[in-house]
Amino acid sequence: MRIKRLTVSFFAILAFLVLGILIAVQLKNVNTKNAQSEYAEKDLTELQEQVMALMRENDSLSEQNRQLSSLISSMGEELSGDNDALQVIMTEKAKAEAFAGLTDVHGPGLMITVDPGQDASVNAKTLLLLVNELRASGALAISINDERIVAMSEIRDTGTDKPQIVMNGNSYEATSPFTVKSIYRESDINRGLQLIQSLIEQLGTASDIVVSNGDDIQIKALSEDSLANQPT
Amino acid sequence: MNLPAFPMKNRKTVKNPNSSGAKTLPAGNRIRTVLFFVLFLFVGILLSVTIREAVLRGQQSSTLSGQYAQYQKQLASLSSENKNLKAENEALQEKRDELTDTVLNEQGFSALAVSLNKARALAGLTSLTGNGVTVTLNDASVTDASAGSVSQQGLIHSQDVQYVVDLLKSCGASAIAVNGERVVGTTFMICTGPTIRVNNSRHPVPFVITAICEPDSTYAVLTADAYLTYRASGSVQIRFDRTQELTIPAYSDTAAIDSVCSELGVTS
Repeated sequence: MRIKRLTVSFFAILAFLVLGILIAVQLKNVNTKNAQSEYAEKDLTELQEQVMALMRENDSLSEQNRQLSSLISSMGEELSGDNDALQVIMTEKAKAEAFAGLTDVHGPGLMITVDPGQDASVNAKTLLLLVNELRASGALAISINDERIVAMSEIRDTGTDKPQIVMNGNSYEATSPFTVKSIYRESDINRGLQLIQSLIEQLGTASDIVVSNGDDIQIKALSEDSLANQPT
Repeated sequence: MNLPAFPMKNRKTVKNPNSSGAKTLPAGNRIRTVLFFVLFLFVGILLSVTIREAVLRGQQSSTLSGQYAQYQKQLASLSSENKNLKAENEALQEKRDELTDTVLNEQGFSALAVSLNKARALAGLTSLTGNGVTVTLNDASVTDASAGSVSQQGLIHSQDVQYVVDLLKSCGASAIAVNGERVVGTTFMICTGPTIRVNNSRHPVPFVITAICEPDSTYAVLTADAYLTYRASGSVQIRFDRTQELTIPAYSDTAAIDSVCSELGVTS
């Protein structure tokens, strides 16, 4: 009788033990499974995006190489008396000058004014944040106080008693208002406007920053005597 | 299953309605039998669910890892193709520049050749070689982080890369590249997942920023910079090197140049 009782107790304990373990395993699985599958899918999606981006880049490079080969071949013809290549070179020059910021440009875009107010000054960090946000939202050309912002343009603070901001080697009083102009593709203007408005909210600076869009913003070329206009 | 019964005090017995009355089952035994039945039923269900889940997870995991391996293979092949295309692109651009010079000089337009070269250099369309600095930014290694995984503070963000680029510009750099991507007038850096997009390419860590500039003064500015010192104290890895004979590649995305120029009124 006693043996029977012990056997029953043993089976009961074993069954409850197995049940407990199974419930614990199941609960743990539910928690980890969600997290794991989320991470695995995220990693896979990121990898897919990288593959797609590289495919697009390679397609673009192939097209560029095809165009370059064609240009080289037309220049070879120029050397043997064909005049078309000179026209191609002039177009290349015009493009290089426009891309370098060496030509006046105009078009639809945004106008931002940064007014430091009384007894305050604008700092270079605010202007850098605005310029970087304009670029990220698709600005094609940018100027600050008619100083064309090009590839190697510096924007930095200088002076303590009389703070100034240096751009392209030229100094501007940091206590005066700054005007930032930018030209966009029509399709990018609203995005640019939203991003700049959002940045202004985040900045919450003492300066009064106002942004507006315009149909024909005029941006001057990089000045001939500017420090940024001296290639190494 | 015929289970043994416990001996019980005041045991009550019930008659089995289906039996002729000769065999009776004690009430305690019936309850125990029902309880054991329910218990084993639960164990059985849970066991089958657990096994099924394990099999499904195994299948799902092997499908995901298969897809992952396939994409990684594709990525490696595309990266190799990308490297070759870039090398070809660079060689073609050099050939084009040489031919352009030859054509212009032969036809007596040497001044035009000079201004074309100047515009190209300012636009970042020519490669440049000289002395400078190399700044390497990398995420904190897991062993550096206290929690075992890298926190946001331990990751390099696009703002960090942009900060270094802006600092190098203010030091008078004449050409800058981020992981080989030339910084031009339209260059921007934004975080896209674990990578940073520079121009039209995505780059994972480490970010190697190279700049042609005066090495000693720039190195001094970089090492004394308060923001970079603060970031380095937050366990991200920042390294500065003075480098001799650096080559910064030319910007070569002609499709992007054409698009910008066409919007700005310059057409082919």
